[in-house]
Amino acid sequence: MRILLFILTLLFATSSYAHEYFFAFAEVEYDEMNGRIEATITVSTHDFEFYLQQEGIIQGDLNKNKSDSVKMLLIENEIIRHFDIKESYTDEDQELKKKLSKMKLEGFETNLNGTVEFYLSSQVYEPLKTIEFTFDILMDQYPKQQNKINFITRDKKQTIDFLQSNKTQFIDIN
Amino acid sequence: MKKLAILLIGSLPIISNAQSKFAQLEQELPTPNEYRTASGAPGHNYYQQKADYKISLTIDDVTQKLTGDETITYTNNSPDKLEYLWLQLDQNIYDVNSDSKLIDVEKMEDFRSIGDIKKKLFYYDGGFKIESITSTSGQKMSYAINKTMLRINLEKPLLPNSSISFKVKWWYNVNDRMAVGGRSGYEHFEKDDNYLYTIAQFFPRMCVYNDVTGWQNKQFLGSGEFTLPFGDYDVSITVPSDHIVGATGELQNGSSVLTSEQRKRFEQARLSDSPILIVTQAEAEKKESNREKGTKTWNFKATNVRDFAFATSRKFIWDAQAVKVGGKTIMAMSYYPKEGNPLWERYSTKLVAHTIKTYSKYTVDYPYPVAISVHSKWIGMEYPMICFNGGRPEEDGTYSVETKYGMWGVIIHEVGHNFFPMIINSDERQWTWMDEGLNTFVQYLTEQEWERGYPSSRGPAYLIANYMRGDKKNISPIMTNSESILQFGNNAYGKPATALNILRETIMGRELFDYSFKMYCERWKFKHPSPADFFRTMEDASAVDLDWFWRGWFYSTDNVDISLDQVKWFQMNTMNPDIEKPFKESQDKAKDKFVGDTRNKELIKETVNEKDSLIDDFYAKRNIYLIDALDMKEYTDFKNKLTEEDKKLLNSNKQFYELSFSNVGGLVMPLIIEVTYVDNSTEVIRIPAEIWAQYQDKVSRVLILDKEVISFRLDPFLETADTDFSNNNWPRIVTPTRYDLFKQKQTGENPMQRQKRLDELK
Repeated sequence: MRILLFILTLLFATSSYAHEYFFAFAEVEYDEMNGRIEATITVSTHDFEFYLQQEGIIQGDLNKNKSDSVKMLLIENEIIRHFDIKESYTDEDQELKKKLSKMKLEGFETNLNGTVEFYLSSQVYEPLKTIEFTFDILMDQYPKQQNKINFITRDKKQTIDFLQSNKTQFIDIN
Repeated sequence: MKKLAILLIGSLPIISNAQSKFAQLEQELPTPNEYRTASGAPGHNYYQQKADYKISLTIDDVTQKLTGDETITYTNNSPDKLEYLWLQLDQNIYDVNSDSKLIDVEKMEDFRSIGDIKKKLFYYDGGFKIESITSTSGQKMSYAINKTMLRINLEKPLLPNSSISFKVKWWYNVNDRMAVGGRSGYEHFEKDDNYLYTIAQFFPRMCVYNDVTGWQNKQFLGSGEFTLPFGDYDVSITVPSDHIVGATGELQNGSSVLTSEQRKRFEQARLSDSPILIVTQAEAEKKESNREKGTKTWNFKATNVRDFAFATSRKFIWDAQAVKVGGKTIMAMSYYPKEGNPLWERYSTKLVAHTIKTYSKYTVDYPYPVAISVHSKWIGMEYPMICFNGGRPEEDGTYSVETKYGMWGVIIHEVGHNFFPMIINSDERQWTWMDEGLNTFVQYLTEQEWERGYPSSRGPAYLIANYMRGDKKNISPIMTNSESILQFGNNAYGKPATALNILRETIMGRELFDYSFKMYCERWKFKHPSPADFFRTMEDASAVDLDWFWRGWFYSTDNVDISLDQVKWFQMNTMNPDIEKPFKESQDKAKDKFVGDTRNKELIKETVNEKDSLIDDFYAKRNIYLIDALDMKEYTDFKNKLTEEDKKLLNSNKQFYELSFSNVGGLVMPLIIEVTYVDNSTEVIRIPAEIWAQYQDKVSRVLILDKEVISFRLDPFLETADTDFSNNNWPRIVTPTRYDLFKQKQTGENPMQRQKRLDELK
């Protein structure tokens, strides 16, 4: 069964703060058959570029960095720093958390409506039971940021919210 | 699987529910009265106040200090005695003791870097410094300041139908928008050490007093914007002599502040339907370094506006063109520094002209003499006749396609605000959606008329679906006060714009919607409408009951998720044995077979009854599929009881499909069903939302169709903002994910590699 990891981050912050809004959205798909997690992240191009520029990761717009493997690695690191998946399980009396293999950025596309989509995937070597999500992308920059994940598994869809006060959530697969 | 059954028609209610979703909004909406009618129109005793201003101000380009004095004439058209007057001091949001600094939710994680701490502790001496408030004869007036509000305590109440005039003197330090933020302020260009001022909320101004709120004197905390009375303005602005000023209203003394060449070009622009440069880039660049000494005073007048704003800089390039609306000529103009080119010279004024014309088509004829777009960095803010907009190319003059669309979108949006709330003057402090939502809706219509396939980020129903899913406690209803909204942009801009789009495209249709919407705008132009006035007008002018829609979309946080749960298929029994018996035989032959039966048929060579003919009796020998005389007689008797019409119906080969739906998301919506037939033709069936009126969780509907169906699909044209398409199809289909689509597009090479292959071909 596939669980698709699809993170949609929509934010359009301008310095005219009457017109700001902070919202990120994610959809998760897990391919149990092939042991993969597949992700699509959609972000406001302007705002994410601005953030990456402020961090000194890129210069100019995102598309200029597409063919630079070093820059792409830095962008990948930045994304997965704020989108973290762990499998959570209990071994006898001890609660352990095992980090899944690193998400790999496979590419991105910019859209005319001002958003950019990042595509990521990861291998999963054992069937997942409970997943711990941390999803705090851009929460450090914008205090009003709210994020959301759509988690699809076995024909069921769940939506989970992430707030400044609650950046980590758990989902049971079984 | 096909089922042969007797004719079945009708809806089959499964669960009975209260009518809460379709309850009329009488309890929620205010009681109609002499000021606001039940039809949504202004009542026969509707009133509004008037505030006229005569303002003189000076901007010091060295210290960035604004000094002003004003005479306010306030007219009380209400039937009430006013013991005091309230004024707004919006600059006080930057006061050191401002509430807006205290109400942000913070954690230590917000202060991880020196930069974070510096930003928090940054000191800017903002806020109005009120020097005096006096009567026109110079007598001091008693007043009290409560943060961003100022109360003048009148010696004698202001009686109905009387006016009072008084003077205020003040100054404040204009804020650096890049450091402090804000809707107005200045942008400093380090390279040439010049300033570009976009000035608004710069003067103490009257609050609205009306029948809905009394004095609208809610504190300005940052999100809820401005609620202002109409009036006339006479404003004199003193700036460095080489500055160009753009402002609300018409310039009165062009001969004093413009060169003869500039005046000549302006007159040319009055006759031109494409932009004419009044100040060229070369002229503006020359001024950047050759600064003139001295000052000039620009005088502007504006009639029947709710506010005043202006922009001034020696860096301005200025262009203009004429736009004709309703028999009037309006000047569309743009002011921008060279850093805005090539985008601004190419597009800004044309966008202004297009926006004015298109909004006039859908709302009211633009009534003012000018419409201005000013460029500064990182801004989007609106005032009567003038707005401040971002969208800047790179330093080398190139720009991304996203920058272009971003700039187009913000100009359309901000110019559009001339209509909402500058003309249709709603209470922004209370209801952000009434101007932002309505404006975003018409923005979408305007974008689609600017460029075919314009990638609007708001408006189409499917774009709001992601926001509307999820935990309802983290979503606010649209009908939420501006300061309390969660996910501000989606709530106050996107969702109301989407709701109006759905009304226009799906619930009411374009003709009914456009008429009703224009009626609302005409009724409330130059007045102060409330949400009830809008809701009531849209219903009253269209004869479409919309209470369920307002209740669901504006008062609740439900989302749309309607599931097509089940489809059952029936055909009529013709009672004709020539048809029904062969049909039954073919049905029985097509049934799944038990594995043991198949193997026995092969492996058991001969059974006892096959060997001994005396074993089989009447029942074993009987052929149930044989058509006998009795079958024909019974059929003939049956036919003789039928009318010709009955016979025609019986032989019509009608197909019956019973579709069952459930309302998973809570928001009731029409059922839009695309039917695909075996011959691949399609048909769309639209069932109004009132199907949910009695049973709000589950309904069913029988479709009587002429052909066999291979599939049904709910919401095929993405009209309803359905948040889950996976339950919309029968039979169920698997929709590819965005990741799947991306992988399908991948060729394994990057664009540069592809270009290499293309070059080799040449």
